[in-house]
Amino acid sequence: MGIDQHGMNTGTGSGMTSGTNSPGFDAMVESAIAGDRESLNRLWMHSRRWVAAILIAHKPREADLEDLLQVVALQVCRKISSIEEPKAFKSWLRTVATNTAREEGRKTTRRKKSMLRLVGREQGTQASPVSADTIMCDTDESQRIYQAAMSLPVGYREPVLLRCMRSMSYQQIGDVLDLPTTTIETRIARGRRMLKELLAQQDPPGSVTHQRDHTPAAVGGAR
Amino acid sequence: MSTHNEHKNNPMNNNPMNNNSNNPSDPASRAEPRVEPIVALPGDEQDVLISRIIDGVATSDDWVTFRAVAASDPTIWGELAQTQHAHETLTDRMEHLIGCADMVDLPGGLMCDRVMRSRTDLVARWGGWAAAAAILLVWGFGWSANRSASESPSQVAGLIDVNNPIISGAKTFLEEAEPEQAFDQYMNSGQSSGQVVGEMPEKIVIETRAMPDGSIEVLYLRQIIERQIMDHAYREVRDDAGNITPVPVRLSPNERSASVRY
Repeated sequence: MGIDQHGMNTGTGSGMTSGTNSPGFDAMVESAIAGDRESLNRLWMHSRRWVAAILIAHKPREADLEDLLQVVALQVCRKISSIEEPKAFKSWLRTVATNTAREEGRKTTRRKKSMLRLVGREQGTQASPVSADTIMCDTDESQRIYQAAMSLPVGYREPVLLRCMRSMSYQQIGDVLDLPTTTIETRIARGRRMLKELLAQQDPPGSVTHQRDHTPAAVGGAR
Repeated sequence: MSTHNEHKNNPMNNNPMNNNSNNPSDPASRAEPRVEPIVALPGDEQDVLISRIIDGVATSDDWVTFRAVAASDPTIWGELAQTQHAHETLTDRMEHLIGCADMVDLPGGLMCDRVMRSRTDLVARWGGWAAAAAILLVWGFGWSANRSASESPSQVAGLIDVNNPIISGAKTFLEEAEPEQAFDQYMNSGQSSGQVVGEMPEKIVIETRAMPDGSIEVLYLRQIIERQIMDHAYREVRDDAGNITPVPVRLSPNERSASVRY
């Protein structure tokens, strides 16, 4: 039984399978906690893509993803020895990532406010809530969908974005978010519906958004 | 395929139509199975059903339910297509964004704790002087600016005082110059005199806003690094009442060169 890029069993097939961390994965976490550099590197390589997805779900728009990943990597190095139970590794790492992103968000907000106050533009910000990103949404379909996804409540945004990582199953997402698989499934479903409704609200009346074939043969492809 | 536990807990699995096993991917089931139409699925069930199909985890029972709903409400095909389109587009974008993660490795060297500790020690050792240097800049610059205003108001880092009648020839230039031209002049003159070190290559975007005419207003920060040589250094000291008082600092040449590293 192998371990895939998210540190999960690979022998169990689709995303609805049972099982959490494989014994191999837990052993790797244990070695990393004990100070084995090689295990720590492998652990990071297994985790960094979903950590990036978590950061995207929480970081301020302006923050650089790579910079935040560097900060999380540093925290992993420094603090991994504080984990007492290997099974808690994923939720611990997710907490580190969300805290890093939120701290960056707080810094950005403080910096922005003080800068705008300095130039006397603070009031103007509140009076004009339409951001340039909204304008971009009108011209770039991908950007439009991404921005709509980013405006979902965080409880739905996280699982929806994590599911966009190819091969990350409901079970694996549940392990990261520390939630039951059924909750993850429901949140993804609701999140997608909200996303669809948000996009529908942005469509001008009478416009045709999707010129795709809606026949049964054209849909249903699985990823 | 779902586990028994998931099957039991999920509302999708309570549908009586789920007892059949007609899967569209199964050739045997393509011969137009008889499906009892379902008018609508309650609550989240339809969303869960669509989500399962998109994620490739729909069971044969799920497909039967889907076909039953579609028999009475064909718009569900459109919903499925729209949701799948949004998911595929978002997936492509996420893959693109997350690509940078593959290049972020753990910090190199031996365990980072040791490196971090040495850096922390360094900061602790020199942090005081760094703070003093910052204060020095504030106080020194303020003092210097006041002094230069009273003694020699003609030029600071290339910015020509337009009120000075002696250089009235330049007055016209600065008043008519575009901001970028004036800025270039400031940079050139400042770099010649040694007061301006340079401009940081990156501009920091503070805010972007949509304007009524459809254009975009971008507020951003340009970072200029300047240099000052001062005769006096001051350190910020807080007295018992909490008031901040500048206290002169004597720096030996060695200490000065050390603090320059910061």
